[in-house]
Amino acid sequence: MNKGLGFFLLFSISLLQSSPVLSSQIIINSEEQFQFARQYLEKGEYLRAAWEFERFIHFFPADEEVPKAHYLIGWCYLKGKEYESARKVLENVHKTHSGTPLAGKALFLMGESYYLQGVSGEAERYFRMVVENYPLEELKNAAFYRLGWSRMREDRWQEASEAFKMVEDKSPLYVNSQDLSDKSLKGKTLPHKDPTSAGILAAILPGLGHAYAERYRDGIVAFLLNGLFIWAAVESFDRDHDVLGGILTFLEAGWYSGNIYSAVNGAHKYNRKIRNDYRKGLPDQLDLNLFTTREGHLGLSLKFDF
Amino acid sequence: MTFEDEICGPSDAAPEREGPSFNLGMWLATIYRYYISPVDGSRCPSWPSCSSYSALAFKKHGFFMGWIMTVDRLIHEGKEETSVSPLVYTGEGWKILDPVENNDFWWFRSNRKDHE
Repeated sequence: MNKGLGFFLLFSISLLQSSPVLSSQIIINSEEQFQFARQYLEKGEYLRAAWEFERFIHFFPADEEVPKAHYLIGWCYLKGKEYESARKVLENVHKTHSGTPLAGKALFLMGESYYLQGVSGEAERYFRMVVENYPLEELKNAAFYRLGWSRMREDRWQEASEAFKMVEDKSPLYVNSQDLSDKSLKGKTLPHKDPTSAGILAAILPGLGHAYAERYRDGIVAFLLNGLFIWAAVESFDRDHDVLGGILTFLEAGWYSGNIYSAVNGAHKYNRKIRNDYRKGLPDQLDLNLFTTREGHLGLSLKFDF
Repeated sequence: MTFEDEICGPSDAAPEREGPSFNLGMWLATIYRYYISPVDGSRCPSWPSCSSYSALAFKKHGFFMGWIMTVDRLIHEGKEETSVSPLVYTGEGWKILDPVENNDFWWFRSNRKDHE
């Protein structure tokens, strides 16, 4: 009787252990994990997408999509504004798959990371490397396009125009590039205040440099402050208050130098404002989202902002 | 890149000049900021405030350039600055966004080199 009860209990426990209620197992294949990560990417949750691509690489290290996953991690960091992390990952992709279209795209995105950070000189270096080393038409056209934008940001209007002209007529960016090629040349004719002239004028008469940079109120402030301190210093020396005169002269030296600096600074700010406003009015039609197309090609197309 | 990024430079780039531990200009600006300004009242229309700006300029560029940049800020802090610099909302209302990077961008390039 006891032996029978023992067998019954053992049988019951073994049944419970294999029951799906107590332990369930989900099997995820590589494709499902990859698509799961992509889902986050498409929803714009870039950093979560990057983690899921990391998970994909961890569990399926031999899968053929691993290089692409590495690349997409870099892309996600770029979109998530984690520029340093993006460059680290993309540089690895570029080194590991050198010469392949994927490496070219990684190199382009490294340039794009600098471009987005406003480091136009470094961005240009990467875009040039893409143009020189990767013959893939779409990638080359995108690099020429960005090269144009990088040069425009540095006010190198003529060189920018030349870069835009290099975009081939097969590219979806062609029409926009030709337009930008013409418009970038107009950058040379934008109103300009010469900072050196502003500085010289301010040195001749405090406030005059500000007036030249169209900052009339600041000019009056600079003129009055300098006039007041010069007058006070002269009066002090005239009345034999040499120590006070010395202190006032020392302070006036600061106002006078600051007035020159301020006029030069005002001219630079004026030029920056005019040029930034002009650039903002120009359409940038390169859509980075198209660097993640499922089909595998670059998939450049136009982006319209309404 | 936003307009704020353009005028402030990359946010994680704040190189500071290595120098002696005591910085006279910075010390004076800090004294004003913590002991005189609270009594005198805050009237600066810009952000950071003129005393904070001054302390940052002294810290970043040393005494001579810090002094000149402080004078520049005192001259240009009026309404005309709004035509070339954006507004930013702070706890004290809308202010003109005018950090040190907005006034040394044409000669001080180290911010950017940090990223190269």
